[in-house]
Amino acid sequence: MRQRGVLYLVWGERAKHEVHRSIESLKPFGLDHCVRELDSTSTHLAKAGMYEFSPFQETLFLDSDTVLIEDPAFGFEMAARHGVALSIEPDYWAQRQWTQIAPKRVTKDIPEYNTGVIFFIKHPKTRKLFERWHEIAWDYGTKHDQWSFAQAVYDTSSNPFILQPNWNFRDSMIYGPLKIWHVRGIPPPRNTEDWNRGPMCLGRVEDGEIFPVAWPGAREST
Amino acid sequence: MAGRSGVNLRERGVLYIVSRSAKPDAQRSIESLQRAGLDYCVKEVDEASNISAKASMLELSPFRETVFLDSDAIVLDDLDFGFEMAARHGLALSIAPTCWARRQWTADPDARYRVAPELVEYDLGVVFFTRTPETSRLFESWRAVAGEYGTTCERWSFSQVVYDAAYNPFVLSEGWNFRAKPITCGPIKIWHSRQPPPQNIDDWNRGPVGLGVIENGSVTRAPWYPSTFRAAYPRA
Repeated sequence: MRQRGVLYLVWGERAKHEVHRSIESLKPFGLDHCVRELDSTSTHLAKAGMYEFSPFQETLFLDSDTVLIEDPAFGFEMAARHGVALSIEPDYWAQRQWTQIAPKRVTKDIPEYNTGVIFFIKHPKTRKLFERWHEIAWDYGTKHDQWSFAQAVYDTSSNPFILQPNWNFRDSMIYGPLKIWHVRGIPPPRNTEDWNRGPMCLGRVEDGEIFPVAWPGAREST
Repeated sequence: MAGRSGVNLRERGVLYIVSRSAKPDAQRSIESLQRAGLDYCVKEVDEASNISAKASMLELSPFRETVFLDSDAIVLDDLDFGFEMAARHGLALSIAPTCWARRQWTADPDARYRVAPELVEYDLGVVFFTRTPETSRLFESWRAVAGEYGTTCERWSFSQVVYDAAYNPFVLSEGWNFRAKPITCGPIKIWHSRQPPPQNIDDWNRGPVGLGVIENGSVTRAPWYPSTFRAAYPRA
């Protein structure tokens, strides 16, 4: 088994093409990688098999539309400690699934995690989580793999380490350095390096740049 | 159940640690507990020790299962899931809007120690916890270093202790500690602001989950990024 690397699961021409941008972004960090090409009829639910697909002891799973901006060492470190490390989905209540037609409803109040960036290690506890995810992947609707993942976390009493949203930035609000850009078809902001080295402040992206914005409520308290 | 001191512990409740000046805020928060039918306890501390006193929340709590609330936090919905996660994992809380603890490096340059570079900053205004050996050790370690990472914010020492102890709190979404942002992504469990919560928050919390904009004292459904965010967060 290879020690540490990035896993991609790709299906369809778009993903096969866009994954090159992501692979290119790994080079400054000297990361090994593995691309598994799945049947073109695959869906997001195939991500539930990532544990088995990975040839690495320590894996960073990335969606094909991601760009690695900064050293991911801390993410690997947290996965080594806690089994899994990832970020919460910007649309963070999994019960938004309740409006979908699906065999089952997710449990009330469970958080929704974004499964586009997942650090994990091979370990019996993480295997249990991923096996549960695989087992129930179809039960919570076919639109999103994240609902079944959130349910699997709850069902197995797992506790993934939660990274800041910057580790899986979906182009909403940002505070501090951008670690992994996760936006399809749009390049990372031109001033990302300057932003990451500058003082920490709240920002958002517009016209290809990150710029500071005012704290809401005149920063009543943070 | 008896605590370490032999004093009987109450089962579940809300702990406030307040200075005299924060007592009016606490009264607003206490009134909000009726929604959740929760017991509560108010511990008064000196103005000067207000920040470091949070590190003593486990010692100060008379409950077996506690949610510590800042005095300006209002409960808007049932908190069962937060207690459940604390029962499973020892401690449950949310990440702070200022989510990188290393802002301490510039915000408090005279602090004795700097936090490690990548640490997550947790918001300590809403903390669910239970009395496990692990949480007891965590709080003991926090108390021991509470002043070492600056005196302006207690979160930095907490983040460092979490890291040093290889502890992993369960992280709740921001709806559990909502800091009066102009945008919400669904139900708001705990409103954490001196501003009043939206007038229609009960209807909003019972409705379908979606993006909402908070303005003029109410929350209304909104389209997704980017238009909503651009309007809510103008350039500085």
